Amino acid sequence: MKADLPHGYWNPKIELLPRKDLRRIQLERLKQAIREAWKSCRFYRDRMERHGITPDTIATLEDFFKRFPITRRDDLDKDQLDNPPYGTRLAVPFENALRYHTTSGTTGKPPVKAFDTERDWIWGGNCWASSLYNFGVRPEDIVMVAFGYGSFIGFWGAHYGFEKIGCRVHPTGGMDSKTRIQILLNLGITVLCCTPSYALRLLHVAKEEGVDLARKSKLEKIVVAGEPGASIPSTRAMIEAGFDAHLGDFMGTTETAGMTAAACSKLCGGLHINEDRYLTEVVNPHTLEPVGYGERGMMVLTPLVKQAMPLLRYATNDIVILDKSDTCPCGRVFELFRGGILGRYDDVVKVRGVQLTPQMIEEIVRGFPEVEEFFTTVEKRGGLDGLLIKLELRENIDQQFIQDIGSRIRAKFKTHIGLTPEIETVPRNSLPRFELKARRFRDERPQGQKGEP
Amino acid sequence: MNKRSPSLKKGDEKKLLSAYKILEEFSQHDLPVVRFNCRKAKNELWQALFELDLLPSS
Repeated sequence: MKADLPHGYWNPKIELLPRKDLRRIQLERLKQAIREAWKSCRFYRDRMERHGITPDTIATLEDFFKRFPITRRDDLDKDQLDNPPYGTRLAVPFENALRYHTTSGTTGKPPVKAFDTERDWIWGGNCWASSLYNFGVRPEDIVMVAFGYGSFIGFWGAHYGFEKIGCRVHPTGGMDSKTRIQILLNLGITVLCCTPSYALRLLHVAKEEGVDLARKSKLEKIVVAGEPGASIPSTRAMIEAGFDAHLGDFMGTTETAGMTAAACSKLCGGLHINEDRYLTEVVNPHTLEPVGYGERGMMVLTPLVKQAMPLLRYATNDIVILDKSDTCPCGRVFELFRGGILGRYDDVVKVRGVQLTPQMIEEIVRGFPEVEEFFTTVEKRGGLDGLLIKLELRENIDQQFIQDIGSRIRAKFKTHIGLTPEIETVPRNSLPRFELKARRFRDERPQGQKGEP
Repeated sequence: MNKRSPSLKKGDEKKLLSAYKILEEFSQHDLPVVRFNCRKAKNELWQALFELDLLPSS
C-alpha cells in the first residue's frame, strides 16, 4: 500500500465513552425521538396507538426492543401509496422539508420518497464526515466522487462529508469511465468514492486503455458503499491490488440519509456502528428475537435524531453479524458489524435445497481474475432448478484457460456451495455494467416454484 | 492513543452554547443575508452540540 492510514478520532469525547454512558445517551435521544414522533408524525402516532404505546411506555432500551413495533419497507410503501405523494411520515411543516431524495429503485418496487430538514441533511453529512475522518480521510485529500448525483441519495452525503473535512471534491456525475480515469490521473486524486462494482469497472476500463492505476495514480484510499462487495474477500482483494490503495467499507441506508457503520483506519475487518447516532439491533428475521454476538441476523435500525421523517425500528433486511468493540484495536467503544453487510434476506434463494446469496457466487467467481463480468440466473430446466453463470472474460486470455474455466468454476462451486452450475462464456461487453447497486443475479423460476429460503 | 486526543477546554462548552444562542437570534433577522447565513451556521453548530452531547434536554 502507498501509505499507512492516519489514526484519529472525530469526536473522542463520545467515541471513547464508557459503554454504560453511551447507552444512557442513546436512551435519552431515543426518548426524545419517540416524543417527537408521537407529537408530530401521524404515521408513528397511529402505529403507537394501535400497539397501545405512548412515549411514557418506553422507559428503557429493552422496553423499546420488546414493545415497539417493527417498521418494514412494505409499511413505508403502503403509507405512500395510500397517502400520496409522500405518505404520513412527514413530521415537520412542508416548507421545512429542504431535501428530497429517494431509494435507488433497484428492488423493482417504487422508490421510497424521503425528505430531510436542513438539520437532518447536516446530520447526514456529519455521519459521513465522522466516518470518513475515522477511516483516515484528511483535509489534504483530493477526492473523486463517481456517482450520478440524481434523486437517489447514493453518495450525496459523502460529498458533503468530504467537503466538511475540507477536502477538494470533484463531482463526476454524468462522466464516462475513460474521462474519470483521466481526471483521476491528471488531478492527483487521492480518494476514490464509488460502489465496489464501479471500482472494478474503472480497473477494467483502465486496463483496456493500457493504464496501470496502481502505479500511475496517487490513490491511497477507496471509499465504497451501496453494495456488499467490500465484504467479499475476492472482490476486496481485486480492488485493493488493482489500485494499490486501502479499501474502506461504509454502510448506510437511504431511508435514514446517514452513515450507519464504517471501517476505521485500523481496518480490522469490522465496521464501527455510529452508535451515538443510531440504535441498532440484530435479530432473527423470522422470530424478531435478538441474536447473540457473532451470529447472523437482520439489522434493525433507529436513527436517533430525524426531524423531517422519523424512522423507528426499521427492518433493513440486511444480513449482519455483531461484534463487540474490543475486536478492533482502535479504542472506540462502538460495536462493529463483522465484514459489513453480508447480503440481504430478500436476496436469499433456495436452489436444490441450498440457501444461496449473490455474494456467495461473487466470492467464487471473483476468485478468477480473468473473469471481467458475470451474470447468474436460476432457471427451471426439465423440472429441476439449475444455476447458469454467464461469463465475460478479459482480452488476451490463454485458450487453454478458456477451455478449463468452466470445469474449474464448477469444481469450486461443488466444493464450497454444493451446487454445480452451468457455465457459459459470452462475448465481451454483452453483460450489463453497473455504477450503482449492481444486480448480477436473477431468479427466473416461475412464481411459487422459487423455493422458500 | 487516548491520552493525546484533543478535547474541549474549560469554558469552551459555555462559549459554544452562547454562540448557538446568538446564531439562533440572528436566524430571525429581517435582513436576508444575515437571516439565511446565520440559520445555516446555527444548524451546523447544532450538529456539533448534538454530537458532543451538550444540548440541553427538552
